[in-house]
Amino acid sequence: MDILALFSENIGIGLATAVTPTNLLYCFFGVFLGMLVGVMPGIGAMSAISMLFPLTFYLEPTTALIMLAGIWYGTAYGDSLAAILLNVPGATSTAITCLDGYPMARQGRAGVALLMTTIASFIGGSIGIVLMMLFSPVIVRYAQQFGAAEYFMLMLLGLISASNISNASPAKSMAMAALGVALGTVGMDLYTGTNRFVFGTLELTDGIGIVGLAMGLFGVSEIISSVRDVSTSTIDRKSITFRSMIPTRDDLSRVWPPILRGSAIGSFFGALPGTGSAVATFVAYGSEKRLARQPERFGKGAIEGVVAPEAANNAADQTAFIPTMTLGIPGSATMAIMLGALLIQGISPGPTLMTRHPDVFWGLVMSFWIGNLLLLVLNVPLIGLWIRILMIPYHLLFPAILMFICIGVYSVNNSTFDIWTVVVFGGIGYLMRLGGLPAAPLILGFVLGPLMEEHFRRAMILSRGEFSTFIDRPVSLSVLLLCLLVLGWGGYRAWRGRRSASAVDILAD
Amino acid sequence: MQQRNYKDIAYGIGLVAFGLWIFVYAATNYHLGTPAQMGPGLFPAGVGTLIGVLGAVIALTGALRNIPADDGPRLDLRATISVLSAIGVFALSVTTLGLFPAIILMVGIASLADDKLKPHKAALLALALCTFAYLVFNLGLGMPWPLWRSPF
Repeated sequence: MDILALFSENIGIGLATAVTPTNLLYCFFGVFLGMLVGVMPGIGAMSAISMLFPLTFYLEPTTALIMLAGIWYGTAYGDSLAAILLNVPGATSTAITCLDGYPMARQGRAGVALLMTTIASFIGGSIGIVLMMLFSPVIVRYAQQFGAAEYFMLMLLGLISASNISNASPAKSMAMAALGVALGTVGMDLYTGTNRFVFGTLELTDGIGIVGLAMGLFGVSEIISSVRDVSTSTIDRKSITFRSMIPTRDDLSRVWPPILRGSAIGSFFGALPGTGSAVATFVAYGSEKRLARQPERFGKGAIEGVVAPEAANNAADQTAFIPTMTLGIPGSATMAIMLGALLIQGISPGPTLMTRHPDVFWGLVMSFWIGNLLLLVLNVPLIGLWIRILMIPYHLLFPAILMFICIGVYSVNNSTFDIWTVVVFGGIGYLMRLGGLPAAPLILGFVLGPLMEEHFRRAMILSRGEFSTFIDRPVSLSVLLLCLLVLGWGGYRAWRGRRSASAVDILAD
Repeated sequence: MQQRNYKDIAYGIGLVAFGLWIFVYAATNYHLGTPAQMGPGLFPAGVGTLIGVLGAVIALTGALRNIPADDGPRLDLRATISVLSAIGVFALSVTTLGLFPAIILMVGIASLADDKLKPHKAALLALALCTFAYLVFNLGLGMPWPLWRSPF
């Protein structure tokens, strides 16, 4: 009873904040721009988000958040669209959509695949949102008892699990996470006022700008490696009409259980720190294949293989906001960028956000739903436009993207120093790509690093220099044990895996 | 036959060197302090050590384990140089020459990355992007940057 009353009260606060003409308009802009950039070939969701989020700096915090949520949805969906029509996934989480989505498109059933993807995403996202609304207050209640030691350990767990549950080798991912933490220390030390690693530049005293860093690492390095790789494909535009979107009765009878199972799997993995949607989609696909009566249909255009991972992806994306918003601990690189954008807006997510600024928190939650709905509405009539964008030749597209990157990053501080940051990290990001070093843990480390240092130092001050504080506190100890467990599992996997058998393969088997 | 992964060895050694450098730089330039009163250098020094250790693990795995090296993407020097210098030229020219020259120069240099973008098409693209930037960033969002400027 009590919970229900609180639940509807929170919905009320959220709707009152989100449903203003301005906010709705920016949510629409966000979804539209996100899809526009996300659908472009050779630009993944990460690059799209890092390119678009400076746009939100001009807005007031709540509106900015709402637009960010829109951008985020739009890019993710644009990615799925490219995956189904062109077989080019922009992110690991959409790689699995290609497996059955592209065969469906080749059988002339792209319209059905696209419509069902939208519906699956909407249902998955909605389930994730409801879970977020139910569990966030509970977590916040617990989190208020957390001290510096617990926060440090939780962040460490986030970094360790993000590094160990991905496709790259654990050592490489952890090295990149550590590199990110090191880059995060650049700038003025909050405790002593000492300038660290600034080498006499005034610009670096505020630290390395996250906009330039993300655009360089993801956007520019992606452009360099796609310039001569991405070929333009032709899509038969006539094959994707409104009529072709109508699913058959057979499709409709097949999709509901996979969508619900996918949402459940996605919600679970999304809420865990560091795992995120990539793992969720692989597990969802794997379990559908195992449950299917005719598993041989998978990989040849089975609709279950499209909707389950898409539902899982969106549900996971949604529940990934639970640790980000309630604890201030992002679980994935996308979340890290969102957190970075929030910090720039002067909002620091954590237990106090929900108690002190309930309008911001619940407004964001409600705007997710609106964004989700807008996606559904925008996608169907505009499908022709998205397809046209998909067919723009890359050699015309990349100079335009470069211009947007330059103007976007320059507009943040009106400083050319930020553009040079893009150049430097574009080069570093490309080098990392060549060496198989993943960029996502670096961003996560970069955002979490300063927070980890702060909590670590505070914990050490409180314990008068006794490291045992991390073991004496029960919550801290259990998180520490969890860290060791994940680390051990990653090590075992690396030792066992002769070929690059990833965690994801093991989980999906 | 033992097949070493030279790429991993090189990257690992690079990380060891970088981690070591962070450690030495932090330890010599900043106060380390004690655990109870940590100075500004202690945390970076610790992270530097960690990077070094992980780099060593990567290099050793590459040297000892017989994992077939995946070829991965190959270095595309032409694309790298033209894309990065296109951005660099934008940075240099946007304050000295103005927004339009910066966009034109950037598109010109970026078009060298690939044979597919012919000069006349690049010129048209630059023109289109200038128009777009003027409409959206100057008129629409009201960004106060000079469009043309004499460098002198």
